[in-house]
Amino acid sequence: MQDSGDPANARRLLHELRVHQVELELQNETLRETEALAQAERSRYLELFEQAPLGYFTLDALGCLLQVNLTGWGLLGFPAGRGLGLPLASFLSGHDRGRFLDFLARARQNLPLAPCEVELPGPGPGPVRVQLQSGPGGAEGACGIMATDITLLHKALEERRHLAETLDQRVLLRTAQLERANREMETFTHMVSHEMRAPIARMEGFGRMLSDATGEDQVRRTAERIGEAARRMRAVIDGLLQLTRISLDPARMETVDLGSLTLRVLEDLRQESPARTDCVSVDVDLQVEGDPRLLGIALRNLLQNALKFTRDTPCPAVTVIARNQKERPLLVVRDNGVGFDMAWAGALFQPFTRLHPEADFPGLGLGLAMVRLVVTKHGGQVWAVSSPGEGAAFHLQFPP
Amino acid sequence: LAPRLLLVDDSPDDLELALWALGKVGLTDVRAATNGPEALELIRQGSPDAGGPPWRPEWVLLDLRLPGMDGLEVLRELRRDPGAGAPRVVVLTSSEDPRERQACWELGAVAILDKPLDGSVLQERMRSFREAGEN
Repeated sequence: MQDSGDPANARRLLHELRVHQVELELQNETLRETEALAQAERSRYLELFEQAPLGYFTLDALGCLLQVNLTGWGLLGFPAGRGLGLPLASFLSGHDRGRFLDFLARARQNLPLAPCEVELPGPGPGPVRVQLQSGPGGAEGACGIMATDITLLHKALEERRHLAETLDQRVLLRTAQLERANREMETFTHMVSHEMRAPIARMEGFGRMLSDATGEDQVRRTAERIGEAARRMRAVIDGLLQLTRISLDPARMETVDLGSLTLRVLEDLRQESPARTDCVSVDVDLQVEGDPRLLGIALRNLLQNALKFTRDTPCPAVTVIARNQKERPLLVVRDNGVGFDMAWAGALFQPFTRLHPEADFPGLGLGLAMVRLVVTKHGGQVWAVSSPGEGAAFHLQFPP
Repeated sequence: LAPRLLLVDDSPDDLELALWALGKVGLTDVRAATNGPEALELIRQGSPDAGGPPWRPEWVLLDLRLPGMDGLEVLRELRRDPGAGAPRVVVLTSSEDPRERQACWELGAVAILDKPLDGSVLQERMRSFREAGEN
């Protein structure tokens, strides 16, 4: 106290105080700078946390949401912050819930843990598939969960699994289709070979007969039969060529008025045999997408067929009616001719198949095969309904 | 006595050729049917014969390509109900389809002969069957 009045002492004290003050101000400055830095770091961290592509959930001891980042809220399909306190399990379907609770129990005990796949409502219209992993835990008793959106991956894997599973099936189906096509081709080849051999066998037979023939009449008659067989052979070849052309030529599609096409075909037939076509009535009000040339061939064969099988009917009547039925174009050619037994209807459209003796109704048996080929080429269907003596109705249905 | 033969074929030309070939080797007791049902009726019921029992074929010469019911169908029907005469069936064909031939054998045809029919070949087959039957 003896120095208290000493001015020198007072000056020294003042100086020390000033030095302390400067030091404190410097320390304060450093603290403020450090705090600003910490604030910046914290907001950077928060931004990272909120915007991370992973969903982060912190759950309390009861499994309720304590903290969720923005991505996490998106996965939950919930506005940010509004669902705090809800159990995470309440966002899962009953199917996933059991597995999730097992997962959560193991995560709390720090047991080895395989990721858990569950479905969450998601931000969009459909649910998302997520993979849950144990994440940074946070405070005592809390548990951290990270969620990765694997919807796309899951979908791709599902697709791959489906493709792999159905591959065998698709191969089997395709093989069956090819086998059927092969069998049909083989049957067709044998039919063709038979149709060509038959006239040759006749030529050979009549040739033998010719060498035994006595008398000018018998010789001439036998020679004529050989000529007939040769003409038959040529007709078979021509018919096959036409069938092949119909099958191979690309269809030139346009809008075809079936009414005027039918009248044109009928006019051609009238030129060839005027009397026979009088019994045909046409009531066609229909347009289809098709190749007019091919459709003309089909109509011609159907009309020829109807005229042939009404040849011996006292009052022959053939009608062609076409309408849109249930939005599908349908054309029906009906006759009151000899008809046929429906038991053989399956064979009707096969090439070289006849349901009546050739002696009664001559022909190659290719007409209806051509009709079927044309209609199939247009993506349509053809079928016939009949009973013996009751006439027949041929139906051509085109795609809508 | 010539064996009784039934020819089944819908082609008039083929019928004429077969009749001629059969006549050449003395097979003259021959009748014809032009479709399956007609042939089956002739085989099962026989056809009325002047003064005697109904005529029933001992042999059938069957074409495979018949309108409606085809030759294989006729064979199948005969196998189901061969009728009292139970004739032997020889298939006459211009076809070389192995599956069709196999089906003929399986359905009980005793021979498959190519068209045009050669009477002496048929006679040879008939003789060997007769001899096999006698032994």
